[in-house]
Order: sequence, then C-alpha cells, then structure tokens
Amino acid sequence: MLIAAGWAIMGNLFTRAGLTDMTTSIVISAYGYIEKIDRTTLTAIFVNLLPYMVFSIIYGLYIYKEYCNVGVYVFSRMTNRKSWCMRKIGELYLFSFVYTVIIIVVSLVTLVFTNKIQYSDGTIRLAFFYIVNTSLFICASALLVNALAIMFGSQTAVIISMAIQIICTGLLIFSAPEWDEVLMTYVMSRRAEILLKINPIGNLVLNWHSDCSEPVNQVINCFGINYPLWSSTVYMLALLIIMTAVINTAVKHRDIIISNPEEG
Amino acid sequence: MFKSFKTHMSVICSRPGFMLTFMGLLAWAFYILVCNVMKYKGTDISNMINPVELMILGEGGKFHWYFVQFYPFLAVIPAAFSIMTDSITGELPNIIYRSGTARYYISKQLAVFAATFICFAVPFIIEMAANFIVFPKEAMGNLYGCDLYSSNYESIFQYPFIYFYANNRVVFQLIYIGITSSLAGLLAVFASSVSVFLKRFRAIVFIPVYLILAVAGRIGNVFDDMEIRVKFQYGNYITSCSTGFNQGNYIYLLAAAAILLALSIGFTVSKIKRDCI
Repeated sequence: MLIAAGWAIMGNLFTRAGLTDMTTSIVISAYGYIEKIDRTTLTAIFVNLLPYMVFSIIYGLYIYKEYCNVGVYVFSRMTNRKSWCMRKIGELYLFSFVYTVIIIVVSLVTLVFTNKIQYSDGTIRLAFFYIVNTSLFICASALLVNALAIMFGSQTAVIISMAIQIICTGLLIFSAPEWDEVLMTYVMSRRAEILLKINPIGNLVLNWHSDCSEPVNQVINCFGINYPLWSSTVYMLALLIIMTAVINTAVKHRDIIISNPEEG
Repeated sequence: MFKSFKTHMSVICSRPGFMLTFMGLLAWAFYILVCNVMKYKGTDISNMINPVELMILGEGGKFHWYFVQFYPFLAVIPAAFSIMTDSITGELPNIIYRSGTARYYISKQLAVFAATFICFAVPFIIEMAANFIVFPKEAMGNLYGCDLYSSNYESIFQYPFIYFYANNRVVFQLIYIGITSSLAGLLAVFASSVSVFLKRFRAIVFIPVYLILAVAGRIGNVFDDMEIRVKFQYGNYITSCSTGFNQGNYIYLLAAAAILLALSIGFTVSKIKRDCI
C-alpha cells in the first residue's frame, strides 16, 4: 500500500505544471498520456506498470503463503477446498481494489495541493472504469502467480508471470498505427486493431479507448477507433474467471505442500 | 578464502537458474545470428551493416528492447538466490560453522558477482566471436542509413566510445560487454545482500533490483529535458551504438554503482556483525 501511495506521489509531485482538468489528470496519473506506439512509449508503459508488477509479486504469495504456513491444518478441517479458495480470491480482490483506489486518490490529492485542478464532467465515470479495469487485471495477475507458485514454487512463478507481461507489452508494437498516404494521417489497420484488443496490456491503457460519454471521449480517444471502455472490463473479467479456474485446478491437484522446499 | 570462493562458485554454477540463463542468452544470441545471416545473405560489403550493431547489445539488434526490459530479472536469476537457498535448505549453519561468518558472506558475495559476470559475459563473447567470423569486420554500414563519406556523418555519429568504434570494434564490444555484465553482477550482489534479511519466499528477492531500476526511470520522466532524462534510464547504459547518449554520462553510472556497492557492503557487514543463528 505504501508503494502505491509513494508511486502516485512521486509521479505527480514534480511535473503536471499546466494541468487544470481532472479527467486528464486521471489518464495521466494512470499510465501517462500515450499517443503513439513505438519503442520509447512501450518503455514508458512498462515503467508505469511497476506498481502493478510489485503488487503481483507481493500478493502473488497470498494464497501460496497459506499453503505453506497453515495448509495442513486448514485442509484437515475443511473438506470443501473450492469454497476456501473462492473466499481467498475474494479477499485478494478486495486488496487489489483498495490498492488501485489508493493510487488514484493519492495522486488526485497530491494534484489538488500542487496544481489548481477543477472538477470536470466524466471524472467519476473515468475513475470508475480505471479502478474496475485495473483492479481486475492485477487480481488476475496475482492469481496467476499464486497458481504457478503452488505448482512450481514462487521463483519460477514470478519469472513466468513477468515474462508474459513483458512479452505482451512488446507485442503491442504490432498494433502501431501506420502512415496513410491518401488521408495524410496515421490510420490503424484492421489487423492492428484486433491485436490491440486482444492484448491485456493494451486493454489497460485508458487513452486508447473510446467511450459513449462525450466529455470522456474527448479526452481519451486518441486513435479514433471504436474501442469502448466497458469492453475492457468484460475482457478483464474473462481473464479473472480463467485465472480463477486455473487456481482452482491447481489447489485441487496439489494436495498439501509437505516438505516445502522454501521452508526447509 | 579462495577455497571457500571456489566451492561457492562450483555450487552456483551447477544450479538450474544459472544454467538456464546462460543457455537462454546463448540461444538468443544464436537465433539473432541465424536471422541476420538469412537477412543479409549475399549483400555486398559496401552495403553490409557493421556486425557490432546487429548483436544483442546493439540498439538496432533484434529483440534488444526485450533484453533491456528483462535485464532486472535476468541479473537476479543466476546467482542472487544463493544465500537464500542455503538458509532455506538448512545448509547455512553448517557452512558457517566450518568457515566462519565473515568468510562465508564475503566469499559468497564475491562468488555471486563472479557467477553473474560469467553468466552474462561468456555468451556475449561467444556471440561476438561468431559474429566477427560470419560477417566482415570491415563493413561500415549502420542502421541509421548514413553513408560513410557523407557530410553529416560526423554530426550524426555521437556514439559513446566512438574512438574504439572507429578503430577497434573488438575493444568497443568488449567495453559494452564489460559494462553490462559488471552492472548485472553488482545488481545481483545487491539483491543477495538484501536477501540475507529474508527468511523465506524467494520471489521477494526480485523486488529490490526491479524497484531501483524502474523508480530511477520514473524519476527521470519528471524532467522534460531529454538530456537529463536519458541519464536516469538504465537501458541507455547497456545499449551500444545509440546516438543521443553522451559518453560522459557513464560517470553517473559509476556513481550509482558506488552507491549500490556501499549499500550492499553495509547490509552484508551488518549481517556479519549480528549473531548468526
């Protein structure tokens, strides 16, 4: 939680000199305002992913820790593992929700002190979508780390999960808009659009989306494509459901960690 | 001390993390080599691109972006878990009983540095040798598409260590390999010196190195001036053949390395002073 707050303060304290609009500030404090896709901006996206990655490392041990510490006692008393697992997932989601809320609230509060920002229409709508999308994503990534840790140990789990996230960020390069000679602007091809929509990291970046609410749409839609915010919510929800299934399978198949290699 | 160091080295070098990173980097390098051979097959030497620019560390190299992003994790994987593994398996008290606390920790940290250095340097040196055998060393092309005899050659080319680039490519590449590997070794030492305070969960060892490098990059983003910003991004220091990055900036890398070294020594010494069991 401290990391989230510190990250938000650090990101906002120095720059953002001319910022007076609250909706814009949410977009910027989330991932930075990213208008095009090339190597430099991908690095920026990756740097901005740091609080989520740290969350997935720390809370990626949440269910696994229970397994190591009290697994034997819990499972000998509890016959229904599924309900135990679902309760843990619920707690994990609560943590990820609080984490995202802290990031956004702290960054807004810092901005109120440093700049004279005003409330504008669509702030609540945008903040709602940011919190829901991001908390679903980090919960899903933490669940992935948990499932892999139960199967292979925490070190391997973190490596695999990080590798997936880095490769997904790198694959965004294929969805870069191309220069159109006729229209004299950057245009996104059909293939690039699909690749953007199926990429989990692409779903995270707010200002590539579109929205039916006009004040929000003005701020965020920089590619001019039909890519509504709620579609990302559905995508993240699907991701979370898949991860829930994965971790349920992992918990079902791994009986108990008896001679845990991490405890000796 | 040396005997202890040798034992730790042989233990670390036989671990799967070390093996996997080593083989992975080697396989990566050879994949790039094969790709480049397929791409530049039959190219005339006057159009041929300099092999230094095509390797992993070159800015235009294939998957160089991935290498830079994976770097904080790659540096930790080979050796930094070593102390933690000892303490988890319960081997630590036995070894300390035989060799003494100070000797154990100092030789362990030295072994961590050496192993990480080898894990990065040897694949890159093999890659360099293979590249210089396969491609002509005299090729002067570059990925910026700038002709050797054009008037703006000098103004465009602001590579760091341009003197060695122009005169001796092997030394040029060796400088970059040295920087990359020793930085990785230092980061590994830092991670393992943090890990002496942890009791379990190896995954947490990844956090300090990653946090340091990424937070430095984020602080750099605060400045609007590009000249200042590039100094904070670690990726620039391990990228060869990049214009827009000054050779003098490496003094900041030295300063950062000195701080890291001081921190790791501080952590290790405070652990040595403390009672062991």
